[in-house]
Amino acid sequence: MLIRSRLLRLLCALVLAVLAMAVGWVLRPAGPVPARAVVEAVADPVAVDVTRLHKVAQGDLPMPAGAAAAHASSLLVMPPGGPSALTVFWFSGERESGPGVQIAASQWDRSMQAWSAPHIVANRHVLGAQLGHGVRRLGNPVAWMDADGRIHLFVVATGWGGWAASRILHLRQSSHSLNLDALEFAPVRVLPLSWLWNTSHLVRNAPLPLADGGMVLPVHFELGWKYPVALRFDAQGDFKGMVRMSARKHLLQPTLLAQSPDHWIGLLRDESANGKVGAVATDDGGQHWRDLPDLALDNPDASVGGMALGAGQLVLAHNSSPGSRARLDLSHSSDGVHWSLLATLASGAPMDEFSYPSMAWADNSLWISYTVDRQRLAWQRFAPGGSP
Amino acid sequence: MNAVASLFSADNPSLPALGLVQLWLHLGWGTLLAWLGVRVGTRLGLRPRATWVLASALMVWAWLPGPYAPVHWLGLAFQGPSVMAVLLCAVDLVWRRTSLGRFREGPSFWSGAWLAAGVLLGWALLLDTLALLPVSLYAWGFNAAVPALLVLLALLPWVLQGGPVRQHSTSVLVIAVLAVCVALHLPTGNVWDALLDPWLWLYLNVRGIRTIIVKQRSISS
Repeated sequence: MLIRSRLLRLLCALVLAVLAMAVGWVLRPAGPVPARAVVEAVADPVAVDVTRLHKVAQGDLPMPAGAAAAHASSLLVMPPGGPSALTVFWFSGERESGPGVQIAASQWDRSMQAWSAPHIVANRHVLGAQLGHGVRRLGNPVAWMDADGRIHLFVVATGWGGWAASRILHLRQSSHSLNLDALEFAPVRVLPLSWLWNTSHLVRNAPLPLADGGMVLPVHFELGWKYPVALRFDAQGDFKGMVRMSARKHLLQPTLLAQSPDHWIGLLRDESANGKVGAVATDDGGQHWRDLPDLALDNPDASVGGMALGAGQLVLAHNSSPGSRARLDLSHSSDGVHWSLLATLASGAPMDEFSYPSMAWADNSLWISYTVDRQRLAWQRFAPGGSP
Repeated sequence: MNAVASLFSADNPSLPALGLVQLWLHLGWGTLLAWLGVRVGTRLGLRPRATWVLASALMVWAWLPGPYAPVHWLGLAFQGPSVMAVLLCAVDLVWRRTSLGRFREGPSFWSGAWLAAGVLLGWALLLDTLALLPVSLYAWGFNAAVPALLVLLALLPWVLQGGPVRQHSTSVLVIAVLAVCVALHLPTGNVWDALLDPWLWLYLNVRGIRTIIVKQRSISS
């Protein structure tokens, strides 16, 4: 096409640009409303005094037959009135990052007051066939239930390399029933999070539920530098965007705690020498984040897991020894800055490991699951109303 | 969020459905492998017929499912290729097959500018991946307004210089890539993934360095 007038050519370029914008706008889904967190995990937070939580039960989770390794559990609260109060997901196999590792699940049966026999819900060969490309290793499942009552699983799936070559695979419940025996998942997609062959983002901790039925999923990048990222999802589990949470390069595995609908804090594992629990905060519902001073709590480069039971009622499970994961504590706080010990969940010899805690509030109790020596999973249940 | 605000927001990306991504994996890597087959066949001095049989075989191989097909492993390691890389290979294959006259890029200033833009964009995206930029460049790639801005930038050589469109082959390619990205959201829904992948960026770096060396030699001689 030969157009001699420069002005006319400019006009043509502008028309094409507007056309591109218009097509993009027409094909684009509706944007999400500003994110406002659900602060109360507890139906009646006034009735729960976090300082009076006391242990009422504990035990080990049943492991799949022949599984020598288990790690990274994720607790999911099930709908009230159903047969199960909780579903727990974890990865299990011959060893961490082994080719035989699969995603296992178990459910807390309300009538039996016990965990069901484990059931495998995802394996890399099936997922690879469904995705159309290979999946080398699986790990770190994180579960969430959308507004339609479907379970979503976010799973670390490695490419060519170790954990640093990971991507986050989004799975959605494909079965009609929430019963464990029938529970099946199908891939939605590999989440597009970075330009570098879409490596190296990992997920570990539970999402922060939002008032619109959506959630914010905390993840992190870990190729060399490590930094946290918050991912937004709508009520149906559609990806809505990403925001970097810190300017520091040694923080990973954020856990999110809402202090008000707009003001949230993120507490993080710190891989630096003599690390403390790292902290970040947002005052505008996750649109912008700022770094906070480290907490006084030691962190031996280990995952922390926390939640807000209500405004000013924060709980955090964390390893508290500077150089090992031999002790796992449960602490509470009203402001997210100053923390007090509530209970020691587990402790052992220096080479013992109690790690990767996950927590949820269900059936008027705080439930905590964690890894023991990377071989099995343990759980504890705390009820309100004990002596402070 | 109102409609105008949503245009300038990266908070409502349009992502491709899984079926479309799978199709792109096979089509994209198949095209790249076929192009590679032609290059290798030509370099090895194979007869044209044998070269095209090799390229066709590689293309067919890419459509097979499972771990015996290259897409299984290429997707595992690198996900899907960029639309730009696939279009460049496809156009080169068509030119070689049909012996049509090649597009030309007009004055060398613009070909150098395109090369520099690709190299710089890749460096910026790499630094952003490592969180070494103060802004989140990759997230902007989900913004609906960014493809429109890129259309304007792509047409800048044509607006400033004029001439027949076939003299602005890179502009045409960029517009085609943006069209695929806006309409089909391939390969990931992020416009940067459509424009440039790390392999293409590495190729541009090598080509840029070679161009600089050749220019230095010609100046010194």
